[in-house]
Amino acid sequence: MTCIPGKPVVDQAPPSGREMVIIAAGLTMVCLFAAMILGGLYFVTQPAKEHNLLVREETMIRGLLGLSPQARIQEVRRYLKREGKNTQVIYLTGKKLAQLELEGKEVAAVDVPNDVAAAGTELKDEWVKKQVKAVDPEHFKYAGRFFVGIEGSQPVGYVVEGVTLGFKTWVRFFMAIDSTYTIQGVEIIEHEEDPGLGAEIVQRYFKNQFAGRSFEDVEKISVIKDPLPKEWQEALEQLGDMPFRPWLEKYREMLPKNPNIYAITGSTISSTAVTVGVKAALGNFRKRMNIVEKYL
Amino acid sequence: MADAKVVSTHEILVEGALPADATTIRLVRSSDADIPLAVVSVKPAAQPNSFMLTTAETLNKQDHYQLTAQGVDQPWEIAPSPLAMVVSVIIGSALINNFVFTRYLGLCVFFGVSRNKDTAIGMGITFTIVGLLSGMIAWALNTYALEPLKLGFMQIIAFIGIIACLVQATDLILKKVNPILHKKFGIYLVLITTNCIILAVPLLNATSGATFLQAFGLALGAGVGFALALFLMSCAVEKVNMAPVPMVFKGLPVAFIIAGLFALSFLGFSGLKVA
Amino acid sequence: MSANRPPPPVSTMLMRGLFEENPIFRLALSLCPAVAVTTAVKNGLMLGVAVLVVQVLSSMSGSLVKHIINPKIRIPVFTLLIAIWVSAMDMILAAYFSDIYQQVGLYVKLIVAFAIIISRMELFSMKHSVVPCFWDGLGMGLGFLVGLVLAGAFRELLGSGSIFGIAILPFKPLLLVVLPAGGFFTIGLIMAMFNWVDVKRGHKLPSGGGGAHG
Repeated sequence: MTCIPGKPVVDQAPPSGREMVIIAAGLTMVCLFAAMILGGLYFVTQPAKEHNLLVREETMIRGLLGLSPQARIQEVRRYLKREGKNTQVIYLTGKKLAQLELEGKEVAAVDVPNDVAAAGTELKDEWVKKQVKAVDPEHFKYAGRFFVGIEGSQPVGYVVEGVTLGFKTWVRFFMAIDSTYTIQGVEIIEHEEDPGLGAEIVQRYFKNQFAGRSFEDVEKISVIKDPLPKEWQEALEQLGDMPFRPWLEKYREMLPKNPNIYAITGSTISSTAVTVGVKAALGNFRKRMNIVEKYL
Repeated sequence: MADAKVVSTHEILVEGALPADATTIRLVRSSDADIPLAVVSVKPAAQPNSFMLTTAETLNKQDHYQLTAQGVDQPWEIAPSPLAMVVSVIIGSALINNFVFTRYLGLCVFFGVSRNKDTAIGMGITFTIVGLLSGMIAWALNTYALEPLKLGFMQIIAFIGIIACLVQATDLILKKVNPILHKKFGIYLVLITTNCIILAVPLLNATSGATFLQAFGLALGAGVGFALALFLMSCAVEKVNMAPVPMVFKGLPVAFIIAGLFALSFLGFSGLKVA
Repeated sequence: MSANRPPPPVSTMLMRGLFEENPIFRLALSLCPAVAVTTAVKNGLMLGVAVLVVQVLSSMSGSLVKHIINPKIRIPVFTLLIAIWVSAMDMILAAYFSDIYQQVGLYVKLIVAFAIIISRMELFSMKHSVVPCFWDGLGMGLGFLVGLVLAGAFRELLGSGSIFGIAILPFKPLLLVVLPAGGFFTIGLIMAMFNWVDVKRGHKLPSGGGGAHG
């Protein structure tokens, strides 16, 4: 009945003291050997893993914003630092490290050295921690990020990372926004929703429903359980094969006819979760952008 | 520190003195401390010395909030109560995300020992206890040794080792201390090492960076959920064994179909929230 | 263990894993991933390949070390060998196939608890040398891979109307099969199908129906 047919259940004679030492030494050797092999492999694969993750994110951002190959992507990281009653918000952009009061009043701003601006996330976080003299690591934490797409020297669009509580666990998504706060597209990066139900949020017919909506549209948006109209679904499936601008030109008149988000059948909670997340991310981004724009 | 807690999707019950003017109150989500949430009204609550705060935005009981007010020195920290959190993790892992029916783990042992009600109960109890122990030891090892030393790549080996040692140790101790109990439960101890739930629990805890209480909840919930699944299944299988099942479906195929039906009914638990 | 017998011919070793002793549908070993990751062919294929590689490497390394280890610690050493290969596989997949890994990651780590691998080491590697172990591991791994892909294709086609994420059917014939519960139905049906084929071929079913019950 056991799953391992060969598993010995018979009692063996207890090993003698000398044998026990040999066995223990042997097992220790094998473990050390294993640790060495795996450690070596870890040092090879870890950088590759980080690199591939970065490449994946960058491809997604470029796709969402429709950037040309010459365009640059700049990450902007946000941190929170708490000391007693006071909380500061800290932005690390490509040029500046800005320490601000919660209402946006500047406390300090320093230039970011080029090597830090180009460094990986871990190095960046360490550098910021040192700069702002965060004494207690408990009170300094990374709080979020967004990306700026730069063509030449002009920002052409932003990609905000957002999280929202889905049906099961957290859903992490990227949302592309242009300079007038119109959504250009939404991409789900990580989720654990049920296949066939909540996992449908990654499908074009759901996630593309947010594209082309202005800030005012999104404020009024709600989730409805009506069936998705056929022609609207066909239009939504186009975005992705077609870049955002021509898509919006072609289907602009359909947006006012479908002002709300059609929920996925059987997954209203997941659909609502994404909608709430997008709404909050857009609202928060607009408020933050007013403050952080001058440091970009 | 005065207490405050989220009581519904738009209301927070605050203990202590709060100015009546809603504009002097600042409520934020701890992770978005720079974006104040709009407070609609502040009214005295039914409880003495407390106020009811109404917000425009939807609040989440699982979230952390911070409340400050002009003229009040101490900020209020609003966090889910530890007990509620543990209970919600246990219910989540035992019913909503039952390890057998929605994560499909431990199926080998599940189909192997669910043919008889007594075996199912024995296995369920043994597994819950050993799973809880190994889950907590593995959590401690991961949090205090593997993570700080950046030895995350040794996780699998370390966890497997802990489980094997623990099962052996329990077996030996039980044999010496209580031979009668050992006679009854010893056989299940051997089977536990082949159950992937016992390995999945520490792995899940390590991936999600669980706190002590969350790890405890997940380990206990996984065990309880497995025991429950085993018991339900054994009841059904005992009945089906007496029914005329088509020949090609006899044995495992029909057991799978029954498990599928249970899984369908467990879907009904999703959306269950702890008040 | 017993004296070395000559290994069976290569074709027998390969075919045994694929059909007669198919780890999933006949032996009913390591069922968890068969139900869990088969919502799409892609996931099934990836886990199947991972199991195949781990099985081959573990079988071969088990055969290599069988003479130098104390028989009393055979099981721990075998488990350790499997854990090494699984950890290695886990890191490689996480680094180079991150998008699929997100969905099957937990199950890749759990390969270490798959009964099929250690049982092959116990039953075959202990008695044979490295080369037959390679073929036996390959056969078993392929059987596992085929099982996963078969279940994945069935579920993805019926549940999502696509194969490898490419839409084939314009509709979803049976959403139920990709839902969490559908995996159990699918595996139950495929097992019954294997039994049916067996009966048609004139074999007698093992007592209790599908497989040896582990």
